[in-house]
Amino acid sequence: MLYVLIPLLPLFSFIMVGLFQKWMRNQAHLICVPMVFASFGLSVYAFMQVAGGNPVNFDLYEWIPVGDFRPTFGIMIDQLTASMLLLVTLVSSLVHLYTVGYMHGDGGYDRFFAYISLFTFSMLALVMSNNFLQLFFGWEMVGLCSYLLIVHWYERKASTNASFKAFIQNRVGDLGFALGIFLVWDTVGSLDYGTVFAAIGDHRNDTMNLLGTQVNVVTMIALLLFVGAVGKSAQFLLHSWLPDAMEGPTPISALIHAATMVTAGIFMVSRCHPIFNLSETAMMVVALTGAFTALFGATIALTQNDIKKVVAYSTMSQLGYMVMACGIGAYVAGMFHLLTHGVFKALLFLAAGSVIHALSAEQDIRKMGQAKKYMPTTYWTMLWGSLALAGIFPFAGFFSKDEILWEAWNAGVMGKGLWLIGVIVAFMTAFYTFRVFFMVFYGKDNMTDEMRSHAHESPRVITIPLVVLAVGALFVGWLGNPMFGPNLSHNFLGPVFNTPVSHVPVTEHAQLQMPNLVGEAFAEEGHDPHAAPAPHGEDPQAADPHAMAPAAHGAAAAGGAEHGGGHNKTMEFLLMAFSLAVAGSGIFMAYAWYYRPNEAPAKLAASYNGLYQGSLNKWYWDELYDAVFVRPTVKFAHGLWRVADEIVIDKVLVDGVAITTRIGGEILKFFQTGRVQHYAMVMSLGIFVILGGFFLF
Amino acid sequence: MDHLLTWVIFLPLIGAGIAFLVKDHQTVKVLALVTTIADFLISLPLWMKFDHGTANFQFVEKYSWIPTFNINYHIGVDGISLLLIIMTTFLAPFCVLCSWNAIADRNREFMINIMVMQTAMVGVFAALDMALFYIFWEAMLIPMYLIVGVWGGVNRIYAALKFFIYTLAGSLLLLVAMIYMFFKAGHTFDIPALMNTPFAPEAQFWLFLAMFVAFAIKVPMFPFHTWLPHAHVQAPTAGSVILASVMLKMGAYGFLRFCLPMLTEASLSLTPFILTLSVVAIIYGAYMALAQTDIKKLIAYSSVSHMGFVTIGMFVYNQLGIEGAIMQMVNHGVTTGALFLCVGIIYDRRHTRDLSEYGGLAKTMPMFATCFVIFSMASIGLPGTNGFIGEFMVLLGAFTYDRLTGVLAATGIVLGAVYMLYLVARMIWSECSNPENQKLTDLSLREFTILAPLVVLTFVIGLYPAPFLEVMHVSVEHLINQTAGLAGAPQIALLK
Repeated sequence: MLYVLIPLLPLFSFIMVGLFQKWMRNQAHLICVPMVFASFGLSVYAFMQVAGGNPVNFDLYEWIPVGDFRPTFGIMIDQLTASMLLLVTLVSSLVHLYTVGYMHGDGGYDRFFAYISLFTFSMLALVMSNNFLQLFFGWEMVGLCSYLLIVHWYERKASTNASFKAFIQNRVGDLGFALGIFLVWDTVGSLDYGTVFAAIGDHRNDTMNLLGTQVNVVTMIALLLFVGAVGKSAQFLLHSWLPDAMEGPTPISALIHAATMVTAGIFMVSRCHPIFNLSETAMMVVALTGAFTALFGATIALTQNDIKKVVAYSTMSQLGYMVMACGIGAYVAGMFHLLTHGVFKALLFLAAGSVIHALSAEQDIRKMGQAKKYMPTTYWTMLWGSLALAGIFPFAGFFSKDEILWEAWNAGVMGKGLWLIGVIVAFMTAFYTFRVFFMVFYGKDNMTDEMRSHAHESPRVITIPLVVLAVGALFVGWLGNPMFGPNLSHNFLGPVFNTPVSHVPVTEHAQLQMPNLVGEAFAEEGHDPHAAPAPHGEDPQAADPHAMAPAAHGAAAAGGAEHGGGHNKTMEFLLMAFSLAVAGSGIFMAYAWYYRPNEAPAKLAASYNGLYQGSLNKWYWDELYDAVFVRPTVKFAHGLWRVADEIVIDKVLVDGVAITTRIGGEILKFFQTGRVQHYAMVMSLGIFVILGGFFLF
Repeated sequence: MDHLLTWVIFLPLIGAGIAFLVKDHQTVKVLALVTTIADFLISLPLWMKFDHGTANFQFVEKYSWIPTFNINYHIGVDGISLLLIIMTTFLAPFCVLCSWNAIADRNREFMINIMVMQTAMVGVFAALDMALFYIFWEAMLIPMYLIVGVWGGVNRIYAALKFFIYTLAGSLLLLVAMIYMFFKAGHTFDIPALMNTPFAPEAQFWLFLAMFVAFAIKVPMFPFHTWLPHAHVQAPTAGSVILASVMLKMGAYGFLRFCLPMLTEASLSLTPFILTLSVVAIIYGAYMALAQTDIKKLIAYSSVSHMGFVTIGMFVYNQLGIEGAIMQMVNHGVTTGALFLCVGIIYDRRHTRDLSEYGGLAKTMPMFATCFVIFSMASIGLPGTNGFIGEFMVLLGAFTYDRLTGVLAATGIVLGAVYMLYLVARMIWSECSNPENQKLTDLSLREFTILAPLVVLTFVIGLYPAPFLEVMHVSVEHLINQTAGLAGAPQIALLK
């Protein structure tokens, strides 16, 4: 029960700050910071317990008890949750600390603290859930907190617009997610993870009617749930809110829009792997969406000039990597990258915040340069973060990114394609990361005198979190190093993905009737990572003492990197060396172009102006959505109101009935004059007409 | 206390009677507040002593009233009406409080109207005799007509007349249906007796249509909704609250009390028709709301959208759907009532409902802004708030009954967020550039007292709805069993 405190402590600080705002004003951190650190401490304890083989799963109370529908609020901590707990509470704690310095003197200081505490609670409720409805609760609550924090500086029009966009795009994703949950309930009759994951295999051949076509129910469930992930993790088509979300203060960019909330989609897909594993179609969609997003985000990041926008697009791109990993069944690799990325991306954002803070709130990297001498700590930590993001040995990003690339390489023909995309993205990542780095800290000094006179290193409370994260960015990758000693990330996380259901192959006829590229590809390669029984037999992982799941054969889904043996090890090293070289050349290119003022980038941009403008303008996606969705909707709504509602229904139909009645009355009143002579005349006329008719016909 | 239900119904009327004798406005205000609070307090035992284990009517009182037509004073409560009665008595004190200073002219008469209204509204939910029901039903119209017509805005006469004639026209069809049923059922208006009377299917069809018009106007269902924006815009705050929170529920309650149990076959066969109109209401109402620049109109149209969820939930014949519909009624009452109260609070300060006049209220009225955002989120149906419970239950119930209905209705999740956040963005966020807005004052103690309980209730229902749900289980199960024996409704099998 102690674990209940992990989410409740931040909730408590939210309530306290919320209720006693008047007295809290600039003291909000006094309650929020200790609470979140306590939560972090408890998370470490929970992690140890889980690592010691004591996973937790219990219900607190029934939330909406109606008939058979009995969703609960509950707590489940397995290896997957435990790793997320560490990441969320660690980054949240450091961001809380950082905020003390960064938001000092801000009018909404207390409000900001209240909301990041609420966010921490919501995110913890999300990852600790043991059922789909609480997951949805956390899912929407983190969206709300994101909304409220983006709009923190609500007087700026850009903030208001960005918050609106973020909420709506997320809601579109949530709609798909909710429908997925409905379908889970309708198929299995439960929303409890354990029950659903155990029973979903029995429904793998169920079909449903989708507008006249028979489709596999499990595929539908997986795709609908994935729509939610697309929204929350800013994947292609629902991505454009994330860069706009940078309108919020930098600490939340680090916490929400880099390390935690946006990774909820990857977490959810990993959590629901028993569902996704059953559908090759869904897995293919996931993999391709991820790969495309990775590429798409990276191409935009190349040319952006706002320091936060670059990091934001980079986040989008890295999230694409993780989603891609999930799509090829390499959940451990995806989760591992999620954790390392959480650390070094939070670092990059916080470092970028430190730069912005020091340079009079300037965000345009073209107006910076030579900032190294003013802020040595920020410089060094940002360097480490950049190296980690670029994937340079021995920093964290190197291990996790290469693991994904390696898994892709092993995932059949399509996997080779994904690997290639991954390598291209890795090159771009290294380039744009160091483009920013060189333009800020070296290059030409474009600062105004005003900025220069105020430039300073940030206070301790800001630099300490940077240093902690920088150390993390160096070491956290070693947890998943495939070279020396045990691969801790696989040992720890692997068992989660060894659920028995994932070993049952999907029968062919149950699949959506479309060319099944992946299936064939995997069959050809002979080691389908997520469905067929692994041909390599007993996996070393299965004997892991921490394994919770039955030690069935083939942790293929999880331990892809290891199922090769000696030959593959050599291959793995070769590929590693190759991607290291790729990243190195990206950095070198950035060095050559931006270390000293250089005409080359401008010339290149001029000669490929179309591409350059496309990238700079985010491939015009905002304009497209504006033209296709936003403006037509508003126009349609106005038109419908003016024409259908005001005129047709209200004036013609409703008032029409009234007016007809009135006119009828006006006409009839002439016949009721009250004069007997008139009545007698009408009567005799009538008799005359009737008689006349009678005689004539 | 004996005759508890009678007391709950008529206490406000007694209050109104006393207020007639008192000339002093200030005293009447206090009297109205005390009466409505007392009424709420004595209605609470209905809930506490309610027996969850039976579908029978409880707190029943039955006296012969007009023996010639076999009309009885017959009242009682079951799991379907209980929460609606509590909601009505709960909201009344807020209506009094929000009119405290806002109604400057003829305040005493206004309070009398509110109290008379209260008696009629509780009476509608408690009546177990159709004639009695009809009397309460029509009695509501008069005070409401006066509230809009006397204390309303510029166009109040048009709005009040439209409201009155429109609803009266519907009611007359209800009267016809009632009289027919009276003769067919062996000269009785008794609701429990009518529930056990099998009506011929052809007769049911026409009876259903007659009642449908009456109830659909009240809900209001698309396309019978156009009186609502007019009435809301013109009504004073308390009028809007009563309209949105309670009167709209009467139509839905009518469907649950009469159509489903008495005209089951007709209900089942007309289900696709009702579901279609409801889905249209959800989407259409949301689009209408999006086009508005008048805050009250926006919320009025949002009611059309939200009530679409209620009518869907009732007509999917499963426990999630029907209980979700009742929850949605209560939640809509609380949330939309609260939103209208919020609008009233700023209207009192700025005397405009034009959205473009506002902006940046978060700066000058932070407490107000917090409350408004909370109610908006409840309206959007964010998990953790009350709005989520009813909406999710209805959607899940609809989805299991007919997937296409569920999917189409679920688009309301997105559309609702669009218009509500548009309102919030324009009103609460953005720059506080209008000098008029820069000197606004935050909530007064009276206003805080109005909003705080509603905020608390928003979260209580949202996080722990069990006490609200458990009272309705048995009654709803009973209702479903009545429909279950009959042939299933035709399915729209696009997604099944």
